[in-house]
Amino acid sequence: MNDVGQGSSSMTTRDSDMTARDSDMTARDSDMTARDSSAPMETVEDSVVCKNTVSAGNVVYLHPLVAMNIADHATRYKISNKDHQYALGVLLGKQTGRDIEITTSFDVCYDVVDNSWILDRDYLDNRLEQASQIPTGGAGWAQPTSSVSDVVGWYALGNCPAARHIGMHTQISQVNESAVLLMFDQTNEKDLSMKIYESIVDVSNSQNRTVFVEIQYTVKTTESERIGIDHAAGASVSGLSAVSDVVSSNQSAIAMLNGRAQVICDYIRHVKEGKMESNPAVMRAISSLVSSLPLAQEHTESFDAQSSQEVVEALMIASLATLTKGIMTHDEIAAKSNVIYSHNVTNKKIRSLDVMSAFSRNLPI
Amino acid sequence: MAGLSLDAFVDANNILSTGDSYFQFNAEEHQRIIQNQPWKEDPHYFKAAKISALALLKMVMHAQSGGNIEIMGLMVGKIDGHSIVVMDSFALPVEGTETRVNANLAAYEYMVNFQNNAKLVGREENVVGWYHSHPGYGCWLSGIDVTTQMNNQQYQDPFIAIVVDPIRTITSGKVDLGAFRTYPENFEFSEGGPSRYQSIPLHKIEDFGVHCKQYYSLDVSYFRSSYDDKLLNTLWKQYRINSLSSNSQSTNQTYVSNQIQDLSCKLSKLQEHQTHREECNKIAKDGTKTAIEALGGIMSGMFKDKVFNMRA
Repeated sequence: MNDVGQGSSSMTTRDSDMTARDSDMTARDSDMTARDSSAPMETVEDSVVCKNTVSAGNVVYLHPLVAMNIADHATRYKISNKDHQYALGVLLGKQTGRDIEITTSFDVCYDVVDNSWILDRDYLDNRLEQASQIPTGGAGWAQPTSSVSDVVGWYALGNCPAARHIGMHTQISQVNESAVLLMFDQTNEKDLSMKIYESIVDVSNSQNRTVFVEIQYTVKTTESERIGIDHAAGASVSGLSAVSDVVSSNQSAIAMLNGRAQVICDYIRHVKEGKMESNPAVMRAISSLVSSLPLAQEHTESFDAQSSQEVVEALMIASLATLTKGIMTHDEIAAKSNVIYSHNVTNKKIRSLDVMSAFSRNLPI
Repeated sequence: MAGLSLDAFVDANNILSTGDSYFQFNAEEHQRIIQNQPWKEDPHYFKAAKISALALLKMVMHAQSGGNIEIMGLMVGKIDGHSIVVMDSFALPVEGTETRVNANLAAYEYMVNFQNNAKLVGREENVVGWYHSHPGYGCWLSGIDVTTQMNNQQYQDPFIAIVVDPIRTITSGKVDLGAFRTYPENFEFSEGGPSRYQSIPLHKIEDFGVHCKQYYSLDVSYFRSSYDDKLLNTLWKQYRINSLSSNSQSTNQTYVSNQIQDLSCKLSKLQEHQTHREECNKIAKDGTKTAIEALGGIMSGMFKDKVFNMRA
């Protein structure tokens, strides 16, 4: 297994074509241009990964739940030390045209025969049948996420596919012929890297053989998924006040965005100064991103009207709440003063001062 | 990248980070604990629920997929001293309406089948509880839930009930979840009632009030494996940005107006008959909470306006 996994230690997820490449972007892009120019399709004989990543342009969306599921599987595999050679499972989700959305996963049963995996189809079918029984949920309120249960691919642990993966892939392809393979590399010390491959038939050496091509993917979260992860990570435990919660979550998001924008700027600057060759694909992506920015600007008026409407509504809710609270406080004061004046207390003056200070403390503003 | 690293959060909140040992399962030891049944002696035996990040995520997402309809599922795990450890969860093909989720025979068959399948791939844990959702009306046990849970505790203890509110989870931006166990039928209830205050809609208040002293809630904490840790670290960077692309106000519109309507109903009920001052305070508190959430949404909106709209 030589010459595979043109790896980077950081995780190679991409939000769009280029935003998520972070620090290793420089190396990768120069790498890519070099490859583009030296076009001939040559693969090392015994490698099953085709490095000329001319992906068909599929878009793969990966939900964090899947990653968590596989991590759980990997942990069990690590802890139990049983004769599970590898933790294998299938990926479920939805395929629309070229877009694949991976929403969930489960582990599969398999036998090992002559160092290759034989998938237990009965087990798989049984699990799929079970998954299809889960109702998809009610109308309207939220986009159901667990409703789809088509097999869109499978996963394995390790950092790059080998020959035995081809055999398994062929079996999965009987369920879905455009299945993808997710490799979950648990060996890396710092970060976990995940790579997604699709299979193509390589005819370069006048013989057909199946090889894997790495494709890019995007992490996609639903709102509840995001909150769930925040919670599990311990981040949503409330801070100092309701205000600081909102501010800090916005601040970190904006900081993140700023970081990404910085990467783009650096790239363009480097290209401009000639330190780096320009990559047309990246440039196109940047240009389309930039051209989408003034979108809101064209409708400034209606946007402003809408947003001030929203502000008014929120303020109305706030004033309503303040009023309610005020009335309740008044009511309390009245009750307390009643108690004082009806019981002709001796130290009347001091007591009523107490009441007054309590009143001012409770003022809602 | 701003001081908001995952590590900082973990340190600040004393989150049990590496829970790898929780993933070990010893069938013999489990059997031994099951046979001793220490919880038969003390109705308060179980004090805490420890939930894995994966199980939490699965439950929250399942609850949300149900929208306004109650969903239900089971949790697998083990016992660790006075805690019930929830390692994983799975959905059941059951749909409920309005405070009545009930599993039928088909669901039991499904459950048995699921467990057998899990054993085939080396997942030995037993079912330790059930979860269901209360969309929009808070985490507590209704009368039917109490009966279900009592039955469960009688016949397949140790068993825990978890309730998730997907709608309040979205509106408040925090997972709204509660873990409960019921007292035995003839148990003398201690005074005090539910420990944590939460808003209960008017049409549910009767159901809540009648049964709220038949159960107690457990402390809930979460654990993660070392892989989860690395993964969350990586994902953290990815999805943070999503919080800029959502608009809480438009998502929560229905919930907020329902909330206000509910408050006004409660207020007019107050006018009819003289009630405790406590009630008034509750209403004021709920109103403030709704207002704070709305203002939070506006605040995010203003941030986004500043960042994305290039004004002349």
